[in-house]
Amino acid sequence: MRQFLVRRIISVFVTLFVIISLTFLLMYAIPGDPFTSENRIPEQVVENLKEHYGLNDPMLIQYIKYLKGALLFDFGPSIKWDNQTVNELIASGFPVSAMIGLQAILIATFFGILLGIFAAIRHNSAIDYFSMIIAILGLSVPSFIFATVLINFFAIKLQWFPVATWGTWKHSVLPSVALAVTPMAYIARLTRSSILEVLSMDYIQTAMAKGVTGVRFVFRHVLRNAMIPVVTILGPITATVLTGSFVIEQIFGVPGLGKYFVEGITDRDYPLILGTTVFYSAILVFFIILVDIAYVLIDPRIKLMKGRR
Amino acid sequence: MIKLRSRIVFLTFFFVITLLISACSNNSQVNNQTDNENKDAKTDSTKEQVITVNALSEPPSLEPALIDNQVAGDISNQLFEGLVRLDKEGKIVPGVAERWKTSDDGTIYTFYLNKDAKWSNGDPVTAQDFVYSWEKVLRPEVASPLGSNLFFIKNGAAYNEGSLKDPAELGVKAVDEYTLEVTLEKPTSFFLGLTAFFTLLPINEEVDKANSKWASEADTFVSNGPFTIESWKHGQELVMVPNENYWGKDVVKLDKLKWVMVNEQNTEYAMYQSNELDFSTNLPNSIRNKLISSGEANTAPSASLAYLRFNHKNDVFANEKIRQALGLALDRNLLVEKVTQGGEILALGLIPIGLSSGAGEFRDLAGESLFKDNDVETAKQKLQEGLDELGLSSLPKINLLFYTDDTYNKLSQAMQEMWKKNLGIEVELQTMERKVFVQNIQAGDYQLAIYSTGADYDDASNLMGQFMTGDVYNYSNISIPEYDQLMKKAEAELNLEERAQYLVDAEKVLIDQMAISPLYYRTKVYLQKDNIEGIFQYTIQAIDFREAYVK
Repeated sequence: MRQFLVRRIISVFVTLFVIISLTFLLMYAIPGDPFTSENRIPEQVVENLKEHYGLNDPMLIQYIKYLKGALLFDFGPSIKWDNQTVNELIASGFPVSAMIGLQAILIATFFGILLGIFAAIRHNSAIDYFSMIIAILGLSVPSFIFATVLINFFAIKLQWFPVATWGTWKHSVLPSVALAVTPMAYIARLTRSSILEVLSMDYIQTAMAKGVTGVRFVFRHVLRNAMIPVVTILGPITATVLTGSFVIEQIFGVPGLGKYFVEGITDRDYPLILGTTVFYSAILVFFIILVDIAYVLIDPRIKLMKGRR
Repeated sequence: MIKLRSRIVFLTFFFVITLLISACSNNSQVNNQTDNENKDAKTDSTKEQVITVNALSEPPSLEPALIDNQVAGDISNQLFEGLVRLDKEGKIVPGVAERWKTSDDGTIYTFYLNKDAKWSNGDPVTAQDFVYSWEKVLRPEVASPLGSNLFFIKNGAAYNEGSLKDPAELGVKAVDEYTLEVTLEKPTSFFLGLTAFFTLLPINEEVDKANSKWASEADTFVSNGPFTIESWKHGQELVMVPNENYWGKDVVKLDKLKWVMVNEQNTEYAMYQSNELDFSTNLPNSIRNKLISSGEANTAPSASLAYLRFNHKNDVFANEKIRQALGLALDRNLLVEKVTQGGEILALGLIPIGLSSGAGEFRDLAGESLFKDNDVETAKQKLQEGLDELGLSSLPKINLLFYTDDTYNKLSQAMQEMWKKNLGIEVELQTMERKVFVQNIQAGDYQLAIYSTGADYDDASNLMGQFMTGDVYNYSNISIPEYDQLMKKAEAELNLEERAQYLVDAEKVLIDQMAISPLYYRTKVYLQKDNIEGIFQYTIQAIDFREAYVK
C-alpha cells in the first residue's frame, strides 16, 4: 500500500508537470492576448499593461515564472480581476462550487444507484422502463434546459425557491438538482447494466437457486460486485462536478469556480487559466487515487500492485 | 431486519414519487397563495427604500484609474462624484466643483470646489485629491486602461508614455485647498463633461497612500459620492447605502441600493418577473421586440453603431462604387425589424443618435439619413459601373468576417441573402472567436467585416478620428484627403458652431463614399418596475441612482 502511494504520488507530479507545460504552450498558441480589444486603446497603454504583467519578458522566463507559480501554488494576480489574486478567486469560488457539487453528487449517486437497482432487478418491467426513460431524458436534455424548467416551475410558478443568486440553503437547491441530473442518469444506466451482468454470473445463479433473495442479497452479493464500474466513473465525475459548472453557475448566478475556467480563456487571463487548470488537475488526480483505493475496499480480489498479481 | 430495510428503501422511493406528483397537482392552489403573500410582502417593502439591480458580474476593479468596463463604471458612478455631474436632462451641473471658469482661449479651466464636499471617512475633498488621482491615472506603471481620457490635459500623453518624468509639468494644479486649475493641450469643448466620466473621478490621496488595496473590500472603501459600500461579497452581491458625509445627501432617498451579479439574460428576466429585480437592462434577445412593442420595455440611445468595415487595401473594396453598391443594397429597416429585433434603430449615418456635436445634438444638425435605405436600383447601377472600372465581368466571391455572436450570426445570413438577391453577389460567411477576430482586423487580414464602435465621451469627434488617414485605429486603411482636411479644421476651430459644421461635412464625405457602411444604432432596452422613479440614464454616462426612489 505504501509503495503504491509513493509511486502514485510520483506519477501525479509527472502528470501535473505535463499538464502544466501543455497548458502553457496552448495558452500562448491562442491568438490574441489579454489586452486585445475592439476598444480604441492607445498603443502605449497596452505597452504599459504588458510591462505591468510581465508579458514582455522572454518566453523562457515566463515559463519558469509560471512553473514556479504552479509549484508554490501561488498564481499571482489575475489580469482581468485586478482586485484579486488567482488564489483568492479560487478560494472564494471553490467552496461554493464544492457545496453545490457535493449535494449534486449525493443526489446523483443515491438516486442513480437506486434507479439502476430497481431497473435491473425488475428487468423489462414497467419500473425498468420508467427508470430508463428518466435516465435517457437526463442524458439527452442539456442541463441548461433542465435548469430553465426548474426556474420556471419551482421559482416563478410555485415560488418555493429564489430564481437565482446565492446566500441561503434555498439558493443551493435548484442548482444542485440541475447539476445532478446528468450524472444521475449516467450512474443509473451504468448501475443497471452492471447489475444485469452480475445477475447472469454463475455464483449469483447458484445463490438464487439456493433461494437467497431480498435486500441483503442485492446489496451483499449483487451490488458489491456491480459497483466497480460505477466507482470508476464516480472519480472523474466528482472532480468535474465539485469544481463547478459554467452553465449552471451562470444560469443561477452562483459565484462559483465554473465561470473562471471559461472566462479565463476568453479573456486570455493567463494566470487564471494556469490556476484553474492546475487546481482542477490536482483534484482530478486526487479522486482517481481515491477510486483506486476504493477498489480494494469493495473488492478484496483487487490488489494495488500490478506486479504481484 | 431484512424486511425492515427493504421497507425503508421502498418508503423513501414512494415518498419521493408522491412528493413529485403532489407538487404537480397542487400547482394552481399553491400559486395563488404565494401570489397573495407576495403582494403583501410587496406593499411592506415599498415603505423601505430599496432598489435591486443587476451588475451582471463582479466589477474587476472599482478604483477609477483601473476601470475599463461599463459594469464597474456604472457602480463607481454611484460611489464617487467628479467635478461636475449630469442632471435629469443630461445637462452639466455642479458636482464637487460648485462653479468654474474657462480662460478666453479655452485651454485653462479653474474649478472652485464645494467646501462641503467630504469623503465618506469625513475628510474634505480637496483640489490636491484631484491632482493626485489624475496623476495616478497617467502614471505609466499604473497602466490605466482608459488613461487616454486624460490625454487632453497638458503633457498628459507624454507623462503616460514615460517621456516626461516630472508630474509637476502636468496641466493640473492645486492653486489652494479648494481651487483646481487645469491646463489643456488645446481647446477641448467636451472637457467639462468629461470630468464626470469614471476615469476622472477622484480618490482620497491619504487613503490610497496608506493602503493600496483600499478599493478591494467594503470596510476599507472610501468614496465621495451619493453612496458608499455597506457590504461586498465578491462575485455575488454589492450593497450600497447613502453616504452620510455627501454634501447633497438630502436628495438621496434610497436606504439601500443592491447590486446582484447574474450574467444570464433569461435568469435576469425571471428574477425581474419574480420581483427579485427592480430594474433590468439585459433582456433575452428572443423577447426584446415583444416587450418593446407591448410597452413593457423602454429604449434609450446608447451612442453605439454597428457597421460594415471594408478593407480599403483590398482591390475590390478600394473601389468606391463597389462599396456603395454593397451598402445601398441592404434593407436596414428589415434587418432591425425582423432580424436583430433588439430595439436597434436603422443607421443611415455614422454618428449615433444622442451624441453631441459640441453645439447641439449631432443628428439634429446633420439630418437623420445621408442616403436612401434599400436603394436596389442605384446599387445595381453602381455595381455595374464599379465592375467596369475594375475591368471585371463579375465580382469575385467576398468573405464577410464577424465574431461568434447570436445577433451577428442572424444578421450576416440576412445580409448574405440580400446581396445575393439584389446584386447577385456571392458572399461567404466566416466567424471567429472574439479576440481572434479583433486580431485579424487589426492586422488588416480581412475583406469585409461586421464591426461596432461606441463613444467614450459625449462628442461626435470621438468616433470620427479613427477614419482619418494614418490613424492607429484606422484598420480599414481609409484615406480620404477631403475628410482629413475637414477633421483637422474642426480640431483647430474654437467656435463651436463652426466646428460642428466641419464635423457634419466630414461625416457626409465619409458616408457619401461609403468608406464604411452604417447598419444600425444600438439602443439600451430596459425594464423598470412601475413603483420605481428617478433613475437617470444618459447616452454616455450610463446611469445615475442618486435621486431614485420607491413610490
